[in-house]
Amino acid sequence: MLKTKSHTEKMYPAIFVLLPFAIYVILVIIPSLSSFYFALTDWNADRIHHPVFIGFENFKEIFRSEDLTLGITNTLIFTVVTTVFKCVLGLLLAIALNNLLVRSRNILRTIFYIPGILSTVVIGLSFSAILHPEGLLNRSLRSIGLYFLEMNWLVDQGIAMLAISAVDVWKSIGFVMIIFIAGLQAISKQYYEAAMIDGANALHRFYYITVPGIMPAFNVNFILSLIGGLKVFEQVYILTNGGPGNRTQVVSTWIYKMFGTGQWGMGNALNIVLTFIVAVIVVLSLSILRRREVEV
Amino acid sequence: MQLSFRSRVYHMLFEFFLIAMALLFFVPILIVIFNSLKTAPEAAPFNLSLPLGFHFENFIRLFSEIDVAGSMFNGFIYCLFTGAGVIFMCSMSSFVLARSRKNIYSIIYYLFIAGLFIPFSIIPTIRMMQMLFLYGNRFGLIMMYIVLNLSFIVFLYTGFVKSISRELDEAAVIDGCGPYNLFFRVIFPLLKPVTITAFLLVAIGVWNEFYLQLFLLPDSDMWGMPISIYYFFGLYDREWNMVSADIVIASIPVTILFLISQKYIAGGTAGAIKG
Repeated sequence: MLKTKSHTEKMYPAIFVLLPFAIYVILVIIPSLSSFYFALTDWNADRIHHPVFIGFENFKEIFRSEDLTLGITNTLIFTVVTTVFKCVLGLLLAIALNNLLVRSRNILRTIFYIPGILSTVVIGLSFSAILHPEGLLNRSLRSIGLYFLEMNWLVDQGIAMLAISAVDVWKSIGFVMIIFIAGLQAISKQYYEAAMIDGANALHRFYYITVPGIMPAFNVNFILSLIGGLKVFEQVYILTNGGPGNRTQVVSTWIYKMFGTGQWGMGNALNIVLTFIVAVIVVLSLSILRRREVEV
Repeated sequence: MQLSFRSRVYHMLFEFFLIAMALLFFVPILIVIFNSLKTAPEAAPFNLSLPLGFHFENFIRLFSEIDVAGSMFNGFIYCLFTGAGVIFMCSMSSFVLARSRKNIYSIIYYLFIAGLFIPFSIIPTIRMMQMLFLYGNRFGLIMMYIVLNLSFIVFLYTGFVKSISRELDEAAVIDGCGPYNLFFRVIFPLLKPVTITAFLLVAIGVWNEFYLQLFLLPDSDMWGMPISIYYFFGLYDREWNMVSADIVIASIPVTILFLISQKYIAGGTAGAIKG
């Protein structure tokens, strides 16, 4: 065994990794690391070429500013809502459309995936028309008599964050569903047959076979939804652009706004805060999820 | 399997429910398709109603007023080169990362994966690109697209490579085949499902991307399809029929690409799930 190890090792030349890794280091890692330094500087449009080192002042200002902490709260609301709905609805859809008795399952899968291949610009513009106070949604609600559900979908802070989340769930549910379907198909049929012979009912089969079997797919979906949610930019930028006021700003749209208005030091500092939030949440969830994963 | 009458009715109702859900889900897209064939006042309310007449001249106007062909060509170039670059770099590096037992590779793997959650910081990146003469040209944009896709695609490929038996490598050693032959003749063909999935995901992402193009390409002749939508989406007048026609044209290439390759997606992501 040891012999084959050393024999095959020469089949894995370092050059295969080094070229891509070098490019990645130059264009991603180094700029990211340098943003750690710029985060500690006063660097703005007035002094483009001379950032001044000011220690942690930018970070203090971020946590003092109510607007910015609201941005962090909005990001967390969006992340929790989208992650929960994507994972739950995505799993239900996957189970429904993995059922061989559903004859239209292939065309339905395609329909549910289609929004995922459209540009966020397209989706954002269409939904801003639909969610407009006089838009299709409110008009339809009125026409069926549901006046109390009529809302300023993209104006009130809480409602707007939920509306943006709903649009994002609509867009990405197909991708989540496909990953769950791949996970369901990876579970061996023999488990189900054995359980049927042993007299397990549908609920038992779901709980003791499907749930543990689907965990790896769940982990991928959960982590990707978390990361996508925390880093959300385009959906918010196109639907509300952070407004009205700054009430629907998320961290990424704040960063974009700061870079646009020449507050580069602050923008970098906020970027570091975001990196830190993402890293902590992702590493924590990974360590919890890994413990629950079983060998199938 | 013979089903009882009751369970057949139950399944039909269930299927009917799913189809109704899918239709409701599809409403926004239907609106856009219908709108693209309407006149501007007819399209303005953004309703789900069939067009009164089919105004195909919207598409003719679209192609004559803005350089759709040029934007599409830009998009194709970016998708093709980014896709090829990502597949080339990720498949080769993932093969080594998944197979070699050297410790350094697990560090490199985690650095690649870290790219999934490092938020992209535009200002330091632009500075770096200016130093390397990558700013403001197509080559630089493509390089940026490649590195921003590396993390997820390396993740997909390494998961998949792990599901391919190591005995193939051992057989290759015994047969006296070198690493390049092993990779290109044996391993790479086996990676076909994940390669197709990777190309699909990368191409769709690049085709729809506009943010980096705005930042990195000052010349609007180099922009792709998504930004062209804003030509008809002014501050005061929104010609929804033209915007919709532009959306339809912009969405056709990715939809076709998706339809011909969708059957590979489940297989292509399966490796990542197991890995």
